[in-house]
Amino acid sequence: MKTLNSGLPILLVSITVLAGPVLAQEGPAYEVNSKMLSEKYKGESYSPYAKRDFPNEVLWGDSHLHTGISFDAGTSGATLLPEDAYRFARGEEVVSSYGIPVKLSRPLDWLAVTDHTDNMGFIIDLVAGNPDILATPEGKDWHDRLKTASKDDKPEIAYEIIKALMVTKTFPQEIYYGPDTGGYKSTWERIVKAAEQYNDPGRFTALIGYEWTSTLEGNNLHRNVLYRDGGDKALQVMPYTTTPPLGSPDPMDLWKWMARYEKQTNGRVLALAHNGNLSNGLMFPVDAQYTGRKLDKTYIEQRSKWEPLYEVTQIKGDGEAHPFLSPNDEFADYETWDFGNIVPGNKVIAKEKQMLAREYAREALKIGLVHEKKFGTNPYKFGMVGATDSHTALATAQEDNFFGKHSGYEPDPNRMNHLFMQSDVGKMMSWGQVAAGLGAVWAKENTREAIFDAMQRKEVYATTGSRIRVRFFGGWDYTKEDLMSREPAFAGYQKGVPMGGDLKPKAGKSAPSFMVYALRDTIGGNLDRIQVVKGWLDQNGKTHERIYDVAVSDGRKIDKDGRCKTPVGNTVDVKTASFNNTIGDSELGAVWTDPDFDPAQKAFYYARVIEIPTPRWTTVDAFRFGIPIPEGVPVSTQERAYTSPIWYTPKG
Amino acid sequence: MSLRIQTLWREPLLHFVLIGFALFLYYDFVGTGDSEAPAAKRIIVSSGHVEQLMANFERTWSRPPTEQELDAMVDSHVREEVFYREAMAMGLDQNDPMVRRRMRMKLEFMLEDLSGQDASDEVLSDFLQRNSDSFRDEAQLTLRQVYLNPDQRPDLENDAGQLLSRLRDGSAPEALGDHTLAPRTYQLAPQSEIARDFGDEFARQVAALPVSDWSGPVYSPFGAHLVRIEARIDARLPELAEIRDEVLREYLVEKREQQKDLAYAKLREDYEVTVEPLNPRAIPALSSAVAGETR
Repeated sequence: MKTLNSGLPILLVSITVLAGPVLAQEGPAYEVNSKMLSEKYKGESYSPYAKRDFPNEVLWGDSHLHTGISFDAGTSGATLLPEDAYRFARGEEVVSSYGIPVKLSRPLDWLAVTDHTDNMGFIIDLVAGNPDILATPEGKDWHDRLKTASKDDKPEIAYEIIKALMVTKTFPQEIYYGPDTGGYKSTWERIVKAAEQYNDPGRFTALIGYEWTSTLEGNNLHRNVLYRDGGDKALQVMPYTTTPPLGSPDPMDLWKWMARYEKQTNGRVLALAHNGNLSNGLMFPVDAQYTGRKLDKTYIEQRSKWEPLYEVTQIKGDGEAHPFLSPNDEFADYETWDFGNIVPGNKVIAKEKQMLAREYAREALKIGLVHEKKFGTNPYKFGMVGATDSHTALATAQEDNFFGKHSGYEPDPNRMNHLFMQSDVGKMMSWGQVAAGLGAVWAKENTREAIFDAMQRKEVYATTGSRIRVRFFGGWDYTKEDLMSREPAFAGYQKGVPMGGDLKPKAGKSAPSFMVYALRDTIGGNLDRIQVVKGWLDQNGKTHERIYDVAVSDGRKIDKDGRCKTPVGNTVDVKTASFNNTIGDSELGAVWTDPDFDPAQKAFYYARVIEIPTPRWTTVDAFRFGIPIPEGVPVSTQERAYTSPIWYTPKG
Repeated sequence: MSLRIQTLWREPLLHFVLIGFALFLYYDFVGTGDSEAPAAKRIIVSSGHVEQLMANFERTWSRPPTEQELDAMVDSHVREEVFYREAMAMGLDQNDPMVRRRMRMKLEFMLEDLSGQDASDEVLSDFLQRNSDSFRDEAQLTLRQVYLNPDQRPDLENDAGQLLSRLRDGSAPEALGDHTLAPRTYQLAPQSEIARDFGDEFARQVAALPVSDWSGPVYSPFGAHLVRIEARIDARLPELAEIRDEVLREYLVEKREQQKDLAYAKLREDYEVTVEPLNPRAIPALSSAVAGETR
């Protein structure tokens, strides 16, 4: 069996001597010398088999998934429930809401079902025709129309209900499922029960969670809340909503709820926001919150305490960087959704350029440094994960196995050509949905506690759907030998900190070094390059960013300015929706020292790993259904991983 | 198993029992007795029912009711019962869509309630055996691998052969092969963990190797690997007692599916369904081809 790829040797920056071709007859391709061994196993057992006391497993999962319980999902036709979501995530074949058998290429290791809490459980009873709901004219009307609505019309009804609930406030109060109603409580019990049933420590983790869906006049301030705890604690306090009087759309009130929960139960929760790109400038405030309330120590400290992560990439657009904010980053315009906000009812409020700076992760990481200087705490010191935000109960992030944003967008020949959103100035079609993303967690074991704790210390990273394995360490004296050693992670943890950490302060003028390495997804595309993205704050309080290519495939050159300007190429054959791993490398790694380091400046560094181009889901659809690709749709995509940053803070 | 349910379903006695039970529910556990007709106009509020009222109250208010509150609840119950019987006698339940829907819901709930009842150890053991693949504990392997990078070796197979004999002759594996960032050793790792790092095919082949000296090459998406299995715990099917909860959970999933299908099939019998032919703008059939990497 020939599964091998041609191409050029892995390029390990500045150690080309070692990477040259060596024949077996002439001896080993690389030698382990005694110095390396002694360094590697200092304080460890000599035996490479001994249990390691650092996180050695990368666990793949989704921290954001809706089931038929979420009112918008249920209205759009999703009938699968949390039980189905967990079964599917564990690798079992299920039948989708519209009857298509579906299975993941590989199981996930963990999943959080995060249904919307507002009106939680209402939709199930609406569809089933609960008599109390049918007794109201609105309820009866929605029920009757949903019963006969086509797959395409259902989302319209969903928007109408969401609009009644969140925008026009005309939702009949007597059938609202608030946290004090029986319907809400039994729904929460059901969600928790499913997680308890499918949580299987060591093999599969079912995290308890929910989405708090603050949508201020269509501006997305959504947060997911994840629990470290089991049902015994999670059931003690009803999850928070955005609807007054029991809920609130202000994140500060959500944080109060979180504090209350922890106090009452002795449990632990964290929150992560998503889709700043749909917040029209509200996600990462610079001066004041949306309420007009000026940012103060309370806001800054609470946000920093409760929101250690940010969901940076998902179906509704990638949120790492925007080309307007990062004009020198040729990879910044990736699955960009900068059309407007997300007013329910299809018609959105258009984006203005000045909003962008408060919407994207990289910019927020920079703003965080400014806040930290002013308030002593960095509110945007977050790690990064990807998630699907699917409303189908199916966590499908892979391009050739994509089941859409909601059940109305399950695979069919028409699903690329729907009007998805429109504003006064333009429109967006459904082909813009992104088959993304995944959360990767470096943990010691697959349990709720270990995964939650890794999230809390930000030892996590995001991918846009590919299972790229990435390690990223920061310290002061990594060497190329560390990278070439049998298990670079030994040196990684011994000499520095992993992704999500803080560089330990060091006297003197020497610059920090970073060890980063990545292996491609075993069923995915090769790697194009690894980059380090640096952001910093100068003496005048101005922020900057810069991208360095630190490892590139196929022997390409990295110029003096730290960039490789030769593109990796593209092997995608659109007709057959296939690609070839004849370009790129299956693994890349580098030890990189910041050439522009200034010990007086606050800074952060994160790694971005980019794959070679592979077919986008729309190209796969075109091939499988024998239909044309709509005009303007990119045929290929370069999947990527974003690690959590490592921060540097000057002493004093 | 499924045959038994089918026969059961066709059993008129079952239908009778279900309908009887539904009626029984409607009488809300009031002790009118099976033989006594409602016409007797006698209402007995059993002590069991009073306890239930109290429990309901306590669930809502987190305290037991006072005597007054309890009296009020019993009064209210009796009032409801009187109205209910009179309404039934007048036939007000006929052709009322809400009553009909409520009846349907109750029946559906009852069907769900039935599902766990026959889950004896014998039934579950049988289920476990039939679905042994999904319950098997994976094989665990302790192994070492030496990597050969195809990008650096024009004659991979020849190099692999030479390296293999050196390894078999006792050369230290740490010093042989090409550099890789993928794991070189596993300590009693489940097969799925190896699959995660090297792909399914590699993991399957490696799991099939005997515990012995170096062998290979085994190919992965990264290249060729020489492998030595140093220890292994074979895959095993746990006893029912070890995984009873998990088996019961999966059993109930299957059973609910079967019941849904059976219930639907039963209802479906009463309908004549006509499906109109496809219109000319027919949806193209799904191609059986799978997109992906060309190898």
